Amino acid sequence: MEKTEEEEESEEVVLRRLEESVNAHPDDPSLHFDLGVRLWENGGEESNNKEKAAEHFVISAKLSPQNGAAFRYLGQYYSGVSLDTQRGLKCYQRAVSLNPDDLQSGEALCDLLDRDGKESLEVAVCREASEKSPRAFWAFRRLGYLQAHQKKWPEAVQSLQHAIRGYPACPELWQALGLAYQRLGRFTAALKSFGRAIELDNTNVFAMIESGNIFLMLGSFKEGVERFKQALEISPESVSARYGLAFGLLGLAKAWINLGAFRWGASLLEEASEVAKASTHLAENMSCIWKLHGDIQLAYAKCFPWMEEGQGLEFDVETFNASILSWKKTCILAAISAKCSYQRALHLAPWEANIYTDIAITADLISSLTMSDGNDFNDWQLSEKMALGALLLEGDNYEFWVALGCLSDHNALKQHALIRGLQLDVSLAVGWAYLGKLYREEGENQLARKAFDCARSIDPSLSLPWAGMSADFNARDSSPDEAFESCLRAVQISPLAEFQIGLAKLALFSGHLSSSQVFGAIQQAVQHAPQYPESHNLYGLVCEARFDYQSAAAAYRLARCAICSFPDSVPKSHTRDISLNLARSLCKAGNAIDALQECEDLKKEGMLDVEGLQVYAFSLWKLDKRDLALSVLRNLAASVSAMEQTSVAAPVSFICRMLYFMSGLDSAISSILKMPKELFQNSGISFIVSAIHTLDTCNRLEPVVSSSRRFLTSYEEITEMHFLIALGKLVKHGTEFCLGFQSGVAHLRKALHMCPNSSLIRNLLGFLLLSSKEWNDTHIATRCCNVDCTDYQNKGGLKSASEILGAGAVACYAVGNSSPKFSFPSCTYQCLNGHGAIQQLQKYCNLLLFI
Amino acid sequence: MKLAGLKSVENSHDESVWAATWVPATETRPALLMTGSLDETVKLWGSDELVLERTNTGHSLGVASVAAHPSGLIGASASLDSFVRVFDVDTNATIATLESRPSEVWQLRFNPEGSTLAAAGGGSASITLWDTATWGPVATLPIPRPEGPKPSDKSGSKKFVLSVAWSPDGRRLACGSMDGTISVFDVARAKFLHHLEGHFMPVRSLVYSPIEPRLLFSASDDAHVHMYDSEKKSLVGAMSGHASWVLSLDVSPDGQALATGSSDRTVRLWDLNMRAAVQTMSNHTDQVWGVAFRPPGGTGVRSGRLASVSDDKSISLYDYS
Repeated sequence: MEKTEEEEESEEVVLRRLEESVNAHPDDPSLHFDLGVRLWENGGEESNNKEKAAEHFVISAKLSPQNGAAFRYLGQYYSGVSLDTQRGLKCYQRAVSLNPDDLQSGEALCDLLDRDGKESLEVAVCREASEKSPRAFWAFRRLGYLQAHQKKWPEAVQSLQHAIRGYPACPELWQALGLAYQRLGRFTAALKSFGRAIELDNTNVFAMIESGNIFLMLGSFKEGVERFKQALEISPESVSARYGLAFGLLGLAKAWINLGAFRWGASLLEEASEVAKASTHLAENMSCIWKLHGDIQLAYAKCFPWMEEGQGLEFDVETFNASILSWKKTCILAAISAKCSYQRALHLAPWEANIYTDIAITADLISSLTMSDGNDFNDWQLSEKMALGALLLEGDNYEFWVALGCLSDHNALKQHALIRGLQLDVSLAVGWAYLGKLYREEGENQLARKAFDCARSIDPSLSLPWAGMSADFNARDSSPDEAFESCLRAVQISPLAEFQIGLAKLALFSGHLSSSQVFGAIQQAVQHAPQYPESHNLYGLVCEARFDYQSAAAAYRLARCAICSFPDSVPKSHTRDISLNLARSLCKAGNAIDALQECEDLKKEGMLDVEGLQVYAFSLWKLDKRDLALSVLRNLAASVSAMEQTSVAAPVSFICRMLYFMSGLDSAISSILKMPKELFQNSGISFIVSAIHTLDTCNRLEPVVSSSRRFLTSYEEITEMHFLIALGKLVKHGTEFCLGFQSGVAHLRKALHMCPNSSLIRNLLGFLLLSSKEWNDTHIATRCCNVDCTDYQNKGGLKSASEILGAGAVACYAVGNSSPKFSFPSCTYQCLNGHGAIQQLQKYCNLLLFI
Repeated sequence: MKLAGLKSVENSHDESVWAATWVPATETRPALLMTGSLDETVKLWGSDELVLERTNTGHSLGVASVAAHPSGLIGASASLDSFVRVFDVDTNATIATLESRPSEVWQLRFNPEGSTLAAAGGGSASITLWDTATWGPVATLPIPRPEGPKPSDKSGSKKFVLSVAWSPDGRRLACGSMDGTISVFDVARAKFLHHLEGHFMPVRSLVYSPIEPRLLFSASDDAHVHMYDSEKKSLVGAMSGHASWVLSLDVSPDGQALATGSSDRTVRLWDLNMRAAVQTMSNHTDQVWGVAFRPPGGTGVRSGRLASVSDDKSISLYDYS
């Protein structure tokens, strides 16, 4: 700013006038002070002006020793111009003691003390000022910083909080407060303070990194990653931000992997690996970065999922093998890279015991992936040896003992290591769990059970004990349902392929195959264990249970490819089962030609069993090869007679049905009559025989039917049989043009009396009432069926409740409208019609739309 | 005194090269350079052109240290799993495998007579001596623990031993630890003598002057190189200049110069009379794990050679004059 001449002149004038008045009143301190200030502020950089000003300040201070401002100027003069630090200090001290709120003197005083390294004096000055005046915010700020520097966190929090009242927009204060809170373990408060600091200064890298670290510590990886990315935008070379970012991405990936989102996890890990790699270039001698890179690569090697490239049926052995190999190669390469990174970390810091364990785990993973049986003379014990290395350095670390227990090949050593770990910490759930696994492998089921129970009661969020519990459900006398539940829990806690395959197997026993949890689990298992035929086969079974026969067939084909890759390790019977599964699902999918091909292949190898014969006969029939099909049926009948009573039901009913379909009613009946009576002692067959019986006007099967009906036991079976009988009555008591509705309705009314809540019977009754020509009972039809929200799934009956309800309403309307002279027709029986029925139907429509 | 780059081999190993030493010349062949790497191999290179003579395998983890017998016939290599392989340099026939407890072999050195192999012993804070005739352990020299025998406390890991060096007369053995102390032993009596103090970070490399048996040089992560009078336990001098950890060092055969390799990716040559760096080579693109002067001897070899190996997988050879 340039001063105009006038101003300069007027300043001259003012100065002169002041000098005159000072001369006139040499005892007035304020005049001296004013003159001093004038000279000091306007005198420019010339030191003689400053000296003159200082003289006046001295006089003013002498005359009025309570004027802090004079001392402040003097302090500035001594410390800045004449470089007499001691005097400067004294003047500032005086100024501060006169006016503790004096920011400039206080800061200058502290700066001087700081320059001489007198930290304790500095603290004393600040403390004194802060005690004297609550408005001495500079003192609180300075004190807060000093206390933070001296790591007196609780005191620092107090001082900083007070200082923030004076300087609420100072980002450094918020940052220091955040740091103090963080060190005190008050993470939420720390996050808030750092957040405020970032708001005030959006280039505050320190606050970003520290708050990112807190987020990571609290497990909020997403927020942490965001903070680190923000920090990297400002300072792309920051190693700690990169480290944090890579760590956060690893945490995020692990969280996703734990939920089963392997591909997503893998892509996050790729990103994390790049970030970590880049930071090793910035700081290559930091062991922890290499360790982090190793962790990332190890996680990648474990989670990278196998992807089915050629979707569909055309998946031959070579492409399957190639895809398995490339998947494995990716995993092995990642594991080797992890091993190298861990070795670098170890080479830089060989005293870090945990890196030995990391190398041990990675070596174990590599040997399990490469299936090497340890042909190298010391390869077999590398993981064991490295695990021991960690223990040599830190023998009291129970986690290392557990690691040794898992990695060792010798059961005795395993047991010893696990027990040592438990001795060090008896509430080590992992230790108990692995001990249980070890005992189970050795056949000590009692001990295994105890160990698993221990582990589960200590930490119910551990998956292994749950899996262990489900694995020995036979020994525990628990139902397959319970086993399924505990295995499901294990799978939900950690999505391991072994658990998932086990879950699918248990689902097979307990009839949960079609549940979505099993479907999801087995899909993930296929991604992680594609080399096992078992996982594909189970996947196929699950698909079949969900009526997706195309996918099921594809899965069985993959299972066969997997068998071809390891022809020695899989018994012949498994191959047969899988081929049979394939034939069956092809058949169900409507692909009879391929199914026939499969059956013939099986036949060539002489592995066509009863089930295979059924599929064979069925596909032959589908392809219109009646004679062949009949001969197969004959073979089937021959083998049935050699079977045990319990498993005979399915083939016998199959034979009956096929006979009916192929050679008609009469020949089926005559064949049935020829068969031994014992074969019909089963509820399933009873239905088939009854159905054939209803169509037979001559009642030739009466004795067979009545004897077989004794085996109907459950409520559902009985209602279904009533349904069937009612239908039979319709047919048998009807004429050529009209079914016997009356007798059918009569039977159903009796049946409904026995089973009042069977919607199957109710619906049929309603349907029959509506169907009978007389139309007298339409109002009853609408009343006897009830619509509920589960009804849409009910595929059992002929018509659904809603259809009957609607038709009933229409019928009521039509009946009531028979005399057109009434403008407002209504049902003569005043029953549920019009509004009620329509409302119910609307409700039901809405429901269906949502579903 | 100066260094001049002669030859550099990029990608000499598949992974970082961690260790280098010269195998002295024998009657039948000149000196060879022996390197050990994270890729689990040991390679032997013909001098001056750095022609790969042989690749030795057999380790299942990275090779952290290599040592050559003074006769030039025997080599030894140690990997991170503390597995030591002793082999015939010319045929690669395995002479012995020395099994140690894991984490217990960190650096290997033959004594000047070639009768003993010393292995710096990691967490047990000791040096193990192996007899080169029987390949059995002959002695263990432990660093005394400061406060009484406490078997399970963590002072053991604080004293983690990283480096070892023989005095040229073979009477003294020095070892450097993670906490920065250097311990000196009397070999004949198998007795601990004293500590040399001054470093405060891990000492990764030690070497005695070939012409002055009591002068010991040390390289530490604190970025300094120290010169000790190992008998009188006094710090003679310190040389600074590296920007990061000093990972390795070696003294020239004439005892006039010192070469160091560092995490700051440079190799420096120090004039011991001036106690100052006279040259900085920055041809490596990653940290330099090993430097080694070629010992004199062999037919028609007069000129000095220095080799350096680095994390960037390369080997560099310099002319030293």
